[in-house]
Amino acid sequence: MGFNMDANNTGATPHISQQMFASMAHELKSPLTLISGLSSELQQKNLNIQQYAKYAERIQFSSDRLLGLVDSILQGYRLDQNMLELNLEPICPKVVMEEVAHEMSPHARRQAQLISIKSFKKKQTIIADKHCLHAVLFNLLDNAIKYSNPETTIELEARLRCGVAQLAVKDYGRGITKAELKKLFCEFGKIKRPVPNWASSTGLGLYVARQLTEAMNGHLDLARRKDGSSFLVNLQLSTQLSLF
Amino acid sequence: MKQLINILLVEDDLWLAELYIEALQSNGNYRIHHARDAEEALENLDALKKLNLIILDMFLPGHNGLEFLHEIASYQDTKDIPIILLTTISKIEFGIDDERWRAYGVTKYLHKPDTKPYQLVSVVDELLLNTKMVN
Repeated sequence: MGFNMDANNTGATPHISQQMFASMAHELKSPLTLISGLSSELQQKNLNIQQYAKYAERIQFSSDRLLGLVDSILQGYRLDQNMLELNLEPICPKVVMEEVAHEMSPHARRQAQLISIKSFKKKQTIIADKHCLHAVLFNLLDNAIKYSNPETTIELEARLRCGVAQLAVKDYGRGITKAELKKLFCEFGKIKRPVPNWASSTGLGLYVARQLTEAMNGHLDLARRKDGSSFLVNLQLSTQLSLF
Repeated sequence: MKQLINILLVEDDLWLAELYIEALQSNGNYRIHHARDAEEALENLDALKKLNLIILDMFLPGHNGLEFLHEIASYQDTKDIPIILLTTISKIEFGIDDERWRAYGVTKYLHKPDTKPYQLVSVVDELLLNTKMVN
């Protein structure tokens, strides 16, 4: 587990192991270093308007990245401490998929990737917690963007499979090997392979996605393909139809 | 024509690399060669021999910085090239003492988050221009 109580710690404050702390600190330092360096250059140099815009965009981008990393760490912590409070209700998956796609589109554009969305033909809803579902899809899409080839389309699709709702995040890249599969959903289970320069990771994303899916009474599967991966979030259908 | 000093920057973060390259090239003294990882840096050993300085990130895809240091130290022509380590891990966290770093050829250890681009330039200037290490 990631956030174990230290044997010597008699107080109420749980804390993480030294190795995991070092790993997280390293991942947080990377975007912080960039923000610090870019800010320093903004103050030091006489930049033209294009350079200024480029530096400002990169600061914004790195800050968003940092917030995402901190969110992942907090979600991992809440999961381990059983601190999640869920509000399971009928949700229109298309609305959440569109929100997440909108948030992640700048990251996809940087890789010349597109995000496509397909949803149920009927206004079907699913039983989920809106914030949890958002976090699950965010982590899966983030992962897909990092490990997909440039100039590919990442497909988000809500479909019906054997009476359950299946939200698929399908990417086109190198795919995942059997050896990598063992580590994939583990806490801090990062796969060693080159990722884009902005794509720092705590190694918590897929772990959090799986744990949150299970907390919503669903399960997360992976379909390995030769040309990429499909992460499948299986959740219960609701009898209520969406108004949207 | 002014003879430029050759520096190799091994850094996998392209935005950080761009930031450091722009800062280092601003005084017109340095020619910066950039490699994203150790393999790319070691691809052309002949080019490596002409280097005056290597600035090395430790966390790299594939072979890490330590493996690169071992490799560089094993060749007669490259073992004396001064090396600046530029890494997010602090010296204490690494747990390697100064003597061992020196044995690897590391002249200076810089903690990345505490080193602004202009500060990197100052360190490089001091190392290369003030000490006249360049022939």
